[in-house]
Amino acid sequence: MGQIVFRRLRAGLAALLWTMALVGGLYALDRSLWGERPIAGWQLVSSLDDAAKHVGPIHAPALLPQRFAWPPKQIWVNAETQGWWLEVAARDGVPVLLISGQLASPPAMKAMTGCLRGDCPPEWRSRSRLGQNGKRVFVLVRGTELELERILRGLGH
Amino acid sequence: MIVFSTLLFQGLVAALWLAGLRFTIRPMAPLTWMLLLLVVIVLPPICVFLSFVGILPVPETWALLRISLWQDAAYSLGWFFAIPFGVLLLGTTGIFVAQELLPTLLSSDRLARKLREVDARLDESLARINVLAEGKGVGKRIAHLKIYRLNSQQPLAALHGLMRPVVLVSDGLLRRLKNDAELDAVVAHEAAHLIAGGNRTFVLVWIFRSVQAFNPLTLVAWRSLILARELAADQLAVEITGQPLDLASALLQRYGSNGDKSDFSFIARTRREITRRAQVSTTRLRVGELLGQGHRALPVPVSLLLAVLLLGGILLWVR
Repeated sequence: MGQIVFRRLRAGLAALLWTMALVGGLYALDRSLWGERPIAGWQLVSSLDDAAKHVGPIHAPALLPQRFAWPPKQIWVNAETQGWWLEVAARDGVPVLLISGQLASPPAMKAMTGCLRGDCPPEWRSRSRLGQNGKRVFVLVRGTELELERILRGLGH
Repeated sequence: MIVFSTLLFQGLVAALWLAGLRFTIRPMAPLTWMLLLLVVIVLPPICVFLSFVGILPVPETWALLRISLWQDAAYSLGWFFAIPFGVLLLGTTGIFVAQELLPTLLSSDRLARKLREVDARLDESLARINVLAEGKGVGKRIAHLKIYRLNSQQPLAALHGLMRPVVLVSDGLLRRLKNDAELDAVVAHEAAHLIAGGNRTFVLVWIFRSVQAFNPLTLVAWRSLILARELAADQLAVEITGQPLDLASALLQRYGSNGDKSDFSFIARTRREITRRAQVSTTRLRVGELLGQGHRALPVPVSLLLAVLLLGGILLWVR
């Protein structure tokens, strides 16, 4: 019995060590071949800090209505074009706010691209303003004009 | 396209992981080897699904292998890469269609159409195996198993059916087996298939395999799984009966001749010859394993859960 447990532990340890060696080897191979090159196209990242590593500081709203859930449900970044999109959902999970740093959009947001130019779906409204860094920021809201105005005014940077 | 590439890369990493594991952990029990192959075939599609629906999102910056960059590098090689690689993928898919999909669809259960009968000798053999399996603690899994004699002159034995599997042993094989000990070995082997997961598990894994029909490494893993499944059933059968030589002898009786030669069409003869050679090679290996059972180091068990966690952990970072 003791011998079986010992052999099982030894096998588990060997499997763990080999897996770690493989992970290290694959990571080293990938990074030595391609370096830390930016990844082409749009990609989802998990946090605003992570997004900032790709595209610099992001305009986050200082204040949001109660019904909005923060942090954003989805954060899209495009390191090549320095583009970013935030999708904020209501507490029930329905998207209610989109904030973008450029007109180009990730495939998942294609349906809302027209709204950036004022052609919005029902219930949605949009507006843009120039940030302190001279770049335009777009805000799309499924809500009232007042909410849109307040969010736009409260955007950082 | 990225789903396709991700499946290819994950299949490659899974195969690499398994090859290293087999080298690291020796000797590996056939049952463990079978379970690991099963994990290697099933996990990549699951991990790709989880990644793409965003259930387990992994930021691309932390990825182990950044597939989009590898893909770009492959594209930059142009036709020098595209033509041989395309031929490889098409060829692999062709093998899957010709050797697995079409025969499955066309044969549509040949065994089910053959006449089967209850046979007292087979029932007695199964009863003996049930008693032995009970003593080894695996009796419950085969307690409701039924056995029938199949009206065929070919030497056949199989675990047949998905929902209520039965063991079928053909007239042809019954005539070839020298004694009841060999018959018990054959019945124990077929019952062992049920203990090791049965046809339902195998069909489920085949569905995962067919999703990756284009992947040459999945083809290799699948072929290895077929052999490992037989070796695992041999191992379990020997654990039940304690008689490896009877099973080895039964295997030699079963594949001892070319069988029916009445069909003279060129394609049929070629196909039969290919099958026969594959059977000879497999039988040689299985008999070799059985004959070596007594004086070999005990195989090392590996936890299936650990294997799933380790490989799943790697694959989720390949994206």
